[in-house]
Amino acid sequence: MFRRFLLRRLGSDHVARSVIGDLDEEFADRARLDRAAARRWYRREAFAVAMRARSIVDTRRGDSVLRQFLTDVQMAGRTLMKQPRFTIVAALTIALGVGAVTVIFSVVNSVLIQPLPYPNASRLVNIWSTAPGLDYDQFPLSPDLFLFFEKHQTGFEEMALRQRGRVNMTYGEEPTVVQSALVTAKHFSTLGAVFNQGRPFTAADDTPKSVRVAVISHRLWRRTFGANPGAVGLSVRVDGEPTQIIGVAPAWLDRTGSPDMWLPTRFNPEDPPAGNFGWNAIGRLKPGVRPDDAAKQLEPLVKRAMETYISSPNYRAFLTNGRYRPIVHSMKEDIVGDAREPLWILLGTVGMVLLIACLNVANLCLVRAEGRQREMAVRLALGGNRAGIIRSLLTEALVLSVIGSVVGVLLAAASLPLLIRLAPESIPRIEEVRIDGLVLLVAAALTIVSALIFGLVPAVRYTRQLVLGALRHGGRGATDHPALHRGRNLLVAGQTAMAMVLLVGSGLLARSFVRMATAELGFDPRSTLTAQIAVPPTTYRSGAEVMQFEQRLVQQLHDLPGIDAAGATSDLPIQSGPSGTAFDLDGRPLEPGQLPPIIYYSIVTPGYFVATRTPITSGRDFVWTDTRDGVNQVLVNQTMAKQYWPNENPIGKRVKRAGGGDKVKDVRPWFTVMGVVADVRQSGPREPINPMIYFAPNAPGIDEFRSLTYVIRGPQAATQAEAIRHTVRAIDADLPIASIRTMKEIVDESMVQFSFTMLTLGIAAVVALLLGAVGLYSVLSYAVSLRTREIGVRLALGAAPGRVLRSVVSRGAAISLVGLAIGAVGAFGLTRLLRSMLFETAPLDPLTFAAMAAVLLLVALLASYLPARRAAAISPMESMRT
Amino acid sequence: MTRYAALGEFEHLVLLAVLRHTEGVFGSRIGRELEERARRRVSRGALYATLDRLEKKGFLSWTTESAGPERGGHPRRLFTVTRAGRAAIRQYGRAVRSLSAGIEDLL
Repeated sequence: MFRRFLLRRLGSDHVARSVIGDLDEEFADRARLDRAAARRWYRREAFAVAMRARSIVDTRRGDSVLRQFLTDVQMAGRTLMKQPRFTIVAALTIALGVGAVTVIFSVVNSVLIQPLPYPNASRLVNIWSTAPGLDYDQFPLSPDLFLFFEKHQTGFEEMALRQRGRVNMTYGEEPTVVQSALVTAKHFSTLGAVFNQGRPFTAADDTPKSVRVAVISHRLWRRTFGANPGAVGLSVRVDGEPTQIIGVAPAWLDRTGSPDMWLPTRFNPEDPPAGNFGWNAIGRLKPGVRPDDAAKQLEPLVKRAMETYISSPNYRAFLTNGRYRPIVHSMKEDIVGDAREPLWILLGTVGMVLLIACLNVANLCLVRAEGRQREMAVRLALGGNRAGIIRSLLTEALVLSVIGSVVGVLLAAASLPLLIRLAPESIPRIEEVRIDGLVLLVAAALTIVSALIFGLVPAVRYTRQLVLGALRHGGRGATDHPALHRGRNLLVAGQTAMAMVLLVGSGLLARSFVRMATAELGFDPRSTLTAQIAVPPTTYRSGAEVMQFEQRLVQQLHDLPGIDAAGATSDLPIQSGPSGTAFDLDGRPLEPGQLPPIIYYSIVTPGYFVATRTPITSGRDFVWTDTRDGVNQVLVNQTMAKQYWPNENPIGKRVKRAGGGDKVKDVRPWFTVMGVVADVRQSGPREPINPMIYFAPNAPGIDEFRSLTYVIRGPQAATQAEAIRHTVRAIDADLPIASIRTMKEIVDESMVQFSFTMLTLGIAAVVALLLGAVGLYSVLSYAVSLRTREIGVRLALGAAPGRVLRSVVSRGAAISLVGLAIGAVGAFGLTRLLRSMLFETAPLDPLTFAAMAAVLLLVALLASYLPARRAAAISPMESMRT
Repeated sequence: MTRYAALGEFEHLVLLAVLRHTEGVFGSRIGRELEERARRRVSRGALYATLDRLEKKGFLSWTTESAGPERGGHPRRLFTVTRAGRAAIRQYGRAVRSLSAGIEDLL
């Protein structure tokens, strides 16, 4: 039994075993004389050895580092347990910091770092167009060029073309609107999608004469077909056409934001749509080919295409003057591009919160360390070395940090679902966010780094002081080294500085948000309801039929009880961007080689501008009689009027779609401007206003718009969804209705990503402010407690309590002013990073800086006031006794 | 003259006990030696701690020797005094002698 006890204490290396062997041998020796005495001897000596086990085994050279470490950890645990209040506060502070970083990093990891869910996703690219000669930054591809590229390219394994849209699918009774995409045959193999059910498209499916077929998403297969394995082979109606389902896409494709139905493009390979730059091209690069290389290899093909088949002079001019060339972007870059900046900013922000938390704990450790100065001094005097003391302090910090980090990661795991629910859908891949190995690894690294930050500062700082100080001075006075105070004050100033940076950052965002929320949109989103309704070409063949439907619906919506106005548009602001095309302007002949301006246009019905409360500034609005053949009138916005007819009356000017005329069907008549409409922020509050032309429905030469968004206005409009449905059914029972929403919702949604960033930054700033305040409070409280006797003497000698109060508060104010100044300088540099996110707010907005400084100072004064009041209330008698 | 780390009284005795065995000596034997010759009870805890300290100071070194069943198969550590150890003993002796000079009658 003793042997086991001994072995456990000593370990089992050969030194330990030799000691045990010695005892055994001697016991055997002694037992020959007197067995009972030998046994007593053995018990006594074994105990003595066990008691000094550490000095026998642990101080030897080559003792295992691990055992040393475990002993340190044990000791650290005991020390921390003796001070539960300190331990809990410090661990929770760390938990807060690590938790915040873990949450945001898990978002950064899933959104920015992890590859897209496609096989070999790094080789997937988007192929775009650019025409710097026309100031067109980036736009999609045209089918004719794509097919030419596909035939002659060398850098890609496969390429595909696709265009998103919506179709009416009828399966059974109810028609539903389904998100769809037209794709070329190689679409699925380019993405690397392998089918378990049915098959992807083949070249034979993708000709104008092919039988109509469709591939459906796994999601649609489950939802509409009840996961029926017999779905493949079923026939459904797609926009009225009988279509056979030939395959179900793999389930993982649903996680890529893909549509629910894919249909072949049915291009005629001999005569694909030319100059129709509305198609997205994707490609899978050959291994080792970089996107830029692939683009370079495609570039000469444009010239070859012009030599080979492009004959239309307009198209040629466009390609030549625009200096058209294809560009290739990594698909991931395109998907996460916009989210990148706010996410890194958020990560930086929470990193700062963690740093503040570490400084706070460092401060706590400093205060605590001073209380332990005597203990350490004794250790040093008894032959403990400085390295050993630093090591045990660091171990304590590490243990603390591990406890805090574990709690922090648990907090992060608990709050992540909430965050994902709150996060805007515009953050791509947000549904993929989770805590994985990499996140845990980062959390572990943070744990160690935090421990180093808040462990090393006090360890180094005060072991240096110690060697001379504590023993010599003894007593309380020794714990009040001015150098130690300086250290703590510096830490608090640093916290204040960082809190200042975060406050200014979130203040700027908040100011932008207010500016955005109150920005003149050009329409009034309140008291409205909108619904998207598309009419299929099978039932409504001609443009006239489409328009008749639209007129009937608008009028019946207008006649609903409680509705003041109704109208419809092809491009509801913010919800959808309008199309742009080239226009000729009457009286502005083009120079040879000059291209007609591209102007955005959309279709509006009479009543639309009343329903959105967009004022007509001159001329008049459409009425339904304007939709008769041959009337040909348009409205333009103020920006258009100002840009193209400055200082002229735009009413009566004429515009017409540029080019055309070669084909009989292609009618491009002149339209007369009959009114000017107030500017509308078509793409959202942050986007600039472009010139716009508004056509009436059924305007000749303008694409038929079969999908319009209807807007109704009335005090209770938001509750009228059922009334809209009922009205539509009454006209055509088969028409599906998509997304019934208020304009307010649409506007709010457009700001949700911004408000999310602002909210997160704001929360981080508040946390930083609180941590900073707690830091200041604890430093001043501690200083007051050290000076209790001195303050008592002063009060006894007649010092006014108010003066004592002022002296403490002014010390707090001084510390925070230093931090504030540093923070303001830091914010000067750092808010520049926010520039692209700000709206009508300068990164150095003096008002924000001043306001945030005031907030910070106020909080600092409050944090100083509490300990100051305590100081002023010190009873001289009491202070002498302690 | 090289100065050696100060030698405690017990350390001095232990070194002398080891020095008596040029071929090396193991812990129990040192303990018995001290108990018999110096007439004092020697705690094995203190003894091993001291041996270890002396080794750290460079005055002792040891080798291991495998041993038989009477030790439960545990190895023996045989200690010998190093040159530094011997020098330290000499220095200690000189100090004792020079301090005792002239007061022999009192001792």
